[in-house]
Amino acid sequence: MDFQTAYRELYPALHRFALRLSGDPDVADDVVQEAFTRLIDQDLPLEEARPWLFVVVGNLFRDRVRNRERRARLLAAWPPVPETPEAPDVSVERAERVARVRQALDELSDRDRRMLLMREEGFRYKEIAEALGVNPSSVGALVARALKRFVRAYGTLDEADDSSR
Amino acid sequence: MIHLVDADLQAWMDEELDPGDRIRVAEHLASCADCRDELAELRGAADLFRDSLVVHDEVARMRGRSGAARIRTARRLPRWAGRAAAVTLLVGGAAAAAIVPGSPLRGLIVGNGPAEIGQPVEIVATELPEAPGASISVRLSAGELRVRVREFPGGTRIRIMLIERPVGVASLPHGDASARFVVAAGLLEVVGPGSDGVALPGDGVVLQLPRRMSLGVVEVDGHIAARVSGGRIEAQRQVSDSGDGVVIEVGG
Repeated sequence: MDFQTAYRELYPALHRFALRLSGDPDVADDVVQEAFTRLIDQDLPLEEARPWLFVVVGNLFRDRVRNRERRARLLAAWPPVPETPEAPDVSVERAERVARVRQALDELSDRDRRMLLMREEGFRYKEIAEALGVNPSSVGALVARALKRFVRAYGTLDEADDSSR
Repeated sequence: MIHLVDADLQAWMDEELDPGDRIRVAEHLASCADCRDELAELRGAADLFRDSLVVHDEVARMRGRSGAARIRTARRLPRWAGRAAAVTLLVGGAAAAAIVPGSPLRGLIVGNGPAEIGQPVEIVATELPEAPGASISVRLSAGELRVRVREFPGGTRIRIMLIERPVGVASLPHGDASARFVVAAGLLEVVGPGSDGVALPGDGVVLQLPRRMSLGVVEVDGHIAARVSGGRIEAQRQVSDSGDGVVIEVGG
């Protein structure tokens, strides 16, 4: 496999996938770079490299979340560091909507989130099944259920948001 | 009748069925309204997911690089600012409780919540000087979007357009006040004021409805004036057909 070709052809979709998983461009940059670094050691044709990279990015992000949660537990006794202020001129409406999308995505299980995002990237059921270790014949039902969960989470979050104000 | 399961419908939508199953599902869908509704719901969920990702990606990228990038200043209340309370969203009976102090947007959009089919969600236009009782309400009823236009003066033109965007727009005459809403999977949600930069042509009421929604009805003073189905508008007493939509008149 020509690495440069793989990088050029697969980077945009892989970065989009990572950005949607993490919501953070810096994290997306890191995990995609790490995945491509690992690809160098593999000897995969392009068509196999694509699902392989998505699996690696998903796993790298999952590991980051676990590490972050572990660090958060260790730092729980310390006062929080103020967050970087959000760009002050993002429209309130848009920022609220994106925050709800992010929360709804985060409420999905890791498998559901990866499944929906891989589907959005055009992966076939067979590829999704292989990447996530599920039966190909169950992917349709799992996708439908995950989509409904997303809609429900999106709606429930908004109701909770309103009632808490 | 044995209905299709979600796995069949999702695979149909994603073109993952083998030829035999595809024929079986197509034949069933042709004769079963319940399964068509279920399919529409799944499609709506997929659309909402996809549309949400588009917004997410755009803002996530702009926010990126440790907050170094900045987004251009947005006009928060383009047309509503001078017409406080011109358009109000009512969610059930708890609308007033949902006003959030300090948020100009929330002060005008009371509620801003999604609702399941059958819940009384309305966008109500008030304080229109020439027609104090005039209102536009948008609600989901039995799986269809029902737009009610009430008590506008006779001769008021209502332009109904189908748009490719997933976000619909209901606008008062002269574009003085408008609201945008998303319809998907049994969910009607007002996403904000204004038309989001979309030109609202001409005077009169403008209704821009997502072409992809499955069913829609426009009522004028209690009478069905137009139906939207299969990406087409069928209007009663149509005044004109402008190519991108139809125009009807109150009292016409």
